[in-house]
Amino acid sequence: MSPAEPAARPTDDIALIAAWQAGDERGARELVARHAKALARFLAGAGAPDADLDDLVQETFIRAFRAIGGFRGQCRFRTWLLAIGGNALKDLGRRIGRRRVVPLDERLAARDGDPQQRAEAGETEERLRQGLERLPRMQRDVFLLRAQQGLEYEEIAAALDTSTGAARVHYHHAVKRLKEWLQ
Amino acid sequence: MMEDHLQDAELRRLAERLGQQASERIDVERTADVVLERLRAGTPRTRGIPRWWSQPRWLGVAAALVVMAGAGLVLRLQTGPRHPAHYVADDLRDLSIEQLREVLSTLDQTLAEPATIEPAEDDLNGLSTEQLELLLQSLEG
Repeated sequence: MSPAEPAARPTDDIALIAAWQAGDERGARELVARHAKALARFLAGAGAPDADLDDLVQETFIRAFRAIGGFRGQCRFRTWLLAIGGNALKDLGRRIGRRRVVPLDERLAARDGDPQQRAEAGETEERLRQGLERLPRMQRDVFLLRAQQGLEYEEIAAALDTSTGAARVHYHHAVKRLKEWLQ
Repeated sequence: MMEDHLQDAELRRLAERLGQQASERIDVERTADVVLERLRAGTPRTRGIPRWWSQPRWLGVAAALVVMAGAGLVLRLQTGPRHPAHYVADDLRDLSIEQLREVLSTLDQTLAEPATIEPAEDDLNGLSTEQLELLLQSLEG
């Protein structure tokens, strides 16, 4: 998990889900507060267009809350939510039939370090985005869940309805192809 | 640019940074407001004891019953006896045994005649392909 976003304790999420199911909207509101930014990072990394990111985050939460009865605690709520986000992104891709276009100013936006380093970092990230777009969806999602979100293979496998071994293989395929693309 | 040998740790570091700026622009409070508003406006979630008539399987069963009842009614109206059988029996009651035998033999002759009219081969020879197809369609119903 990213250091900036400490993972919520699973039991806390379960309690919030129970509160929401019992009719307490504060449960849903707290779940959005905890996981919206991580979800947005995942979606952006997976190629969500910047202009659609807000809508995608909202749509993902709506789908998740409507399907909350299907969440059996097989993985953490956040992991389950990210998997739903991946599906929402896929549906969006079908509807609009276009890929993410990253504005130049975002790529070269201010970061620590000198301008030359910033430009190089932006270029590398952009190359990584392009590489991710070339991956099959399963490889891309597994890579992001592992490398960006810091999840264990067991957790990823449960969320994506695959085996732990298959998740490992997808990850290694993704890493190999991304390295080839970036070098 | 990139190092010659990109390490896994470097790849992870890059992946962690992906989408960071985009996520910072997400207004969490507003997101929660919109989500809850849309959930309220949409199909209400079933809480507590589910209403039996809102369950899809019960709707399906009810629809099937309606269809079956309707079909039965139509069938009954179309094939049901419009002239009850006892009227026929009343007509036959006054006939003698000889007369009844005559009626039965007439019926046997009627039933022995061919029930369908086969199209003559000569007639078919005069039909075009389209006409034959039309005929075939009409025969197949």
